Amino acid sequence: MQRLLYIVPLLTVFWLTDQWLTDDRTIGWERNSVRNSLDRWENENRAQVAILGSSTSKDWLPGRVVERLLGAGRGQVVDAHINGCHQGCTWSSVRKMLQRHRQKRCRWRGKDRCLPPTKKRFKAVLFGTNLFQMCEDGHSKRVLQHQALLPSEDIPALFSIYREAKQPLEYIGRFAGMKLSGAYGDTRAVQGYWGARLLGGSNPRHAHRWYRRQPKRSSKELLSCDYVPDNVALKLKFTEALMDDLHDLTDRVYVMLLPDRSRASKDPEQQRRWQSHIAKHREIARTRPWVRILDLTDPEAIRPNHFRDGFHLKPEQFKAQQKRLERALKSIGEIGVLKQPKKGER
Amino acid sequence: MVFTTPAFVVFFSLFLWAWFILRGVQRKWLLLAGSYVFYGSWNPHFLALIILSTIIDYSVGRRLDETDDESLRRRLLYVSVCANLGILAVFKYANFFIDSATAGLEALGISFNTESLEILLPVGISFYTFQTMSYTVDVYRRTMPACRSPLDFGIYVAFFPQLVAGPIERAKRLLPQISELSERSSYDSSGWGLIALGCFKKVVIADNLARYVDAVYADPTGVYGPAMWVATYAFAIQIYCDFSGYSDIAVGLARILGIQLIQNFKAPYAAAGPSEFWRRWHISLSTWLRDYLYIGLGGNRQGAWHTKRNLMLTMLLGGLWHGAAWNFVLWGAWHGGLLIALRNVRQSAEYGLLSRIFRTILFFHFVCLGWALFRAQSLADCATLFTGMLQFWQWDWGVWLTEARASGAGADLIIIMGTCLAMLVVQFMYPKGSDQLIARLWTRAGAVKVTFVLTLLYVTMLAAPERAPPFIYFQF
Repeated sequence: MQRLLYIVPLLTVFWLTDQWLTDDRTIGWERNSVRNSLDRWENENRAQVAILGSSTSKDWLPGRVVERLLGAGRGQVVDAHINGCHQGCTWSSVRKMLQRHRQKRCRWRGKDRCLPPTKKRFKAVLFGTNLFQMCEDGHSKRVLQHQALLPSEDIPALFSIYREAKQPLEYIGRFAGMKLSGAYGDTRAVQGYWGARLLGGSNPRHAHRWYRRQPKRSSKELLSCDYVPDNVALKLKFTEALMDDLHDLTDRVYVMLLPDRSRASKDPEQQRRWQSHIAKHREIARTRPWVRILDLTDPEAIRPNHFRDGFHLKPEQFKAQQKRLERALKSIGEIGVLKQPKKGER
Repeated sequence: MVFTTPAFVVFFSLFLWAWFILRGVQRKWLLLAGSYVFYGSWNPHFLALIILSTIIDYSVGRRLDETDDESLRRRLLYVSVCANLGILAVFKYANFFIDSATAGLEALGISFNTESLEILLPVGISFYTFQTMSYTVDVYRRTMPACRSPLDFGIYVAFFPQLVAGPIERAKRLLPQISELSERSSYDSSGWGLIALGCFKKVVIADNLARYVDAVYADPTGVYGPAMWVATYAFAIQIYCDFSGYSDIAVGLARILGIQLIQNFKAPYAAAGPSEFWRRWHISLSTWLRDYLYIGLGGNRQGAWHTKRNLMLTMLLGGLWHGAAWNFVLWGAWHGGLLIALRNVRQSAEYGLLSRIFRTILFFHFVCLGWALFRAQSLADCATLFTGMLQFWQWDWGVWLTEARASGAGADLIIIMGTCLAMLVVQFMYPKGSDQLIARLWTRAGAVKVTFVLTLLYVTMLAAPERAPPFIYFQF
């Protein structure tokens, strides 16, 4: 009992410090990108189509192009992407959307009884993924996105997916650490912010500066996919969960298989990885009729210099990518699929 | 599963929960199972290796104890030593020997094409093979009885706090504590202090210095004079904080479970000479090499020349123990040379304060030269590093200062040098190492202890780099 006298105030001080760091919008851009995404889609009640995924899904795809291709009305496409949002993050977003949809559209019947909404939230969802997203393992940013987005009731489901990872305890530990401390969820930003404030900058990308003008190694070397089976298994598990939950959120799901720099590689190993990547997504879609695969990877046309890094297209390639999307939609007969018939039309 | 990762926090929380629930021999089973889970988390296949090593040394130990036939006892000792060294030779040194032989024959003009074997190095193999070998030798020398309980012996070999990077514990010290685990519980709360301090050293100091060190050592060409020295100072502090941080955590974890491990570091950079350095740095390895190799070779009992030869051989093998590469052998030779050259210099206690400080700083630079060899990625890099260190005139201060002002890089230099200086001062203040600091702190009120532990852990959590590099000594 005597120990509580000093432990409780001490823990309170830590908690208050942590809350202060967590809530500060000037640090933690990764948390802020999640918050910004929530702000974008939460109040868009008119929206019929959502673009989900990371910046590689969205930066080449303006809402008006989707409106034109799918035949949605003006302003009916909502940008719900989050920078660096891979399969697990998108699944967490969808769980969040489903929760909010349930809460907003609750049909009260009887005493404290909420029936699920009868209408789905969206008519169509576009989600883009590339090979690089199959590879990265254990990045704390991903766990931060899960922690920030996922409703608490879905934590057991998340942990069951983590079981597919090579180090499930690592994911669970990070998740628990982020639940315990919001500031821990974005330690890199906290360090960058306070490093800059106290010492004038300690960006890890600038570690060479104290002795050399330019770094010797190019960061592009890091952006390649090793396609480790453990990582692939985890990402596919997330993709399957995402596709299943999207069925409750929308009528149709377009999975856009996006290219990255490795698509242009002539290396047989890279080509094998790409074939496997595409085949696995087709397999997922085969048992889920609401999912359509749109292969936008086009190995004949894609060149390494089309990308500004490993996987973001240069602006001059946006039009070509939009054309590929149009061709892919046309090939499955889904152009203008959301178009409302005008009065008098059949 | 590295100690400073969230995975280990979850593992140890679950383990500790079960530990405090269970009693008696169940605790031992839990400890053995937990140790195997911990080791298997790297690669389950390597569990077979550690179990094989356990079975061989347990059986040999029992047989050594039972028989008085000296010839049989010697043969049994050879079986154990050959098995342990054989495991090391195959898994750690096979490619080194093949590559060195190929290069040697090609230098003689003999074409000898062979490919390196694809062998993964099991984590901590050097540590646990040395630990089990010391047990067999002690039983052979009859300085201790053989362990009767296979469960206790299994725990002795696989005890997870010190399994992958030491301290290399002696059976005489650890086995009696393990056998008493089921009868007594001696939880020691100072373990938490050591864990917090170890995490702080590893994550806040070592991991953050690593990015500056790696930037230079990844490609040392074109780095001269002061920049190379600063990177080497930083590496000296990085490797100390990395390894002693690991040891602090290991000792702390063991204390919570009621087991006292040997203190592995005692402020090594406060040493004023090589003998003192090796009494302070990686104490469990240096005493192992002294007891089982140096003394085995004859020690200092056979005259000056033999003593020098024994010192050099011991340090060469000590260097090779660290890694299967020639730069580690060179590092061992460097320290062997220092021990031989400075063995007649007076002990540091005999100096006045100023003289001691001067000698300590001078010797620190000798140690740093050794670290440059240790950190180099190849023999060619060693030459580049030493050339760079000596070429002070190639460093253009004017250009550097202009750029540093423009980019704010001066702050980076302040971080590096400030950290190095602070760590050296702390070593002077606490010449007996982390244990001394924690022991002093643990005489204070509970509030001070809790504040110390929580603050260090919170700061460690916030300072953790995105991708924490593993402990340097894990690769050995």
